[in-house]
Amino acid sequence: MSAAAVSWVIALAAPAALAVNVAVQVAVFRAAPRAGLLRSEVIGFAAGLAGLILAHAGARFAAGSAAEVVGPFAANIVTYGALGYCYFHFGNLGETARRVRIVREIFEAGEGGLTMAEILRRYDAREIFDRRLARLAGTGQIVLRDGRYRIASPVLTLMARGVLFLKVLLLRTASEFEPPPPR
Amino acid sequence: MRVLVWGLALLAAAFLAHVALWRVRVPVRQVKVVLVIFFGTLLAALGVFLTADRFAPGLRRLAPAGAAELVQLALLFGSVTLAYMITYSAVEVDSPSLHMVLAIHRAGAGGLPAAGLLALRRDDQLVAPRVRDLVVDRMAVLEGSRYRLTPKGVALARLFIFYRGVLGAGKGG
Repeated sequence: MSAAAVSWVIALAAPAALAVNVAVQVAVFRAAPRAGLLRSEVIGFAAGLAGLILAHAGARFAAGSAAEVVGPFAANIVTYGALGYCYFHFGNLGETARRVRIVREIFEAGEGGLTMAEILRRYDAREIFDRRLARLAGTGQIVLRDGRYRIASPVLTLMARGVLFLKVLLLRTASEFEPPPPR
Repeated sequence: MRVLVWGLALLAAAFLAHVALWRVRVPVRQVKVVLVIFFGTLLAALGVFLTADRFAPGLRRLAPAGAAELVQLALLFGSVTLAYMITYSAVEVDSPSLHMVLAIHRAGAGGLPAAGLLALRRDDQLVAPRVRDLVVDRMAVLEGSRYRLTPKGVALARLFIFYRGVLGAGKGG
């Protein structure tokens, strides 16, 4: 394999790994939907990562000892990690995003559209809240014990605090419902 | 290593420009402006790299070499930018799940009674602002009292109906 061909294999390895990720994730979820979306996403990501490592190993073997190894691989790990993160969230948008659900409800209502009251009859705060509570409990993030909710896993807490940090840094407020202080 | 170093440096520069602008004024269409800043930075850098031979020969030795490395740089930059954009949507609006988790976390070791979470279950905070976002983002229009989708909103609906259909999954939310 020529040096130019090896360069292109390396350049396109991350998006190719994403394609493997998507194909495996869809196949796993369709085969076992009850195991949950998250499990299929983890398996899909691992399959894509294995593909990326194989692609780099193959390129290294084809290029011989003259080829730079660490730099291109590190760059592709960052790229694939970011692409995998994007796909994970794309999948989660379909599962959890309120705007996506609202858009679907308006779409399915047809050309007449929906009033706010009609939207709320199809999708309201109770459903949003109950779904999330069930998901947090089902994935082991929180647990209900003696009538009180407790944190069972620190993962989402860390994520929430990270998002809170970015909110305060960028928007100078901890919530969209609390206006920032005057400049 | 050039791709990784330049990619991370350009991302850092774009992020600093983004924070600096937000300190002056937060734009109405935040995600759109973030995209303009980040991809504007990438396009400017690519322009410099492609004309380095003419204007900055010293840069040639340090810049990514060849089309394949430039593509790899663009993919690295683009993918991290999209990842940040997705994260930013959780910054821009309040995530109900993260708020529930934070409320339970702040209650401490004793936990939070179920009634303590019910304060978060409000249509005016969980649904209405997201409907208004659709209008701001031009995915829907308000005609009289009825919300109708724009072509952009229709495209989004069809994308997720297709994707969820491929998965064999139902409506989310």
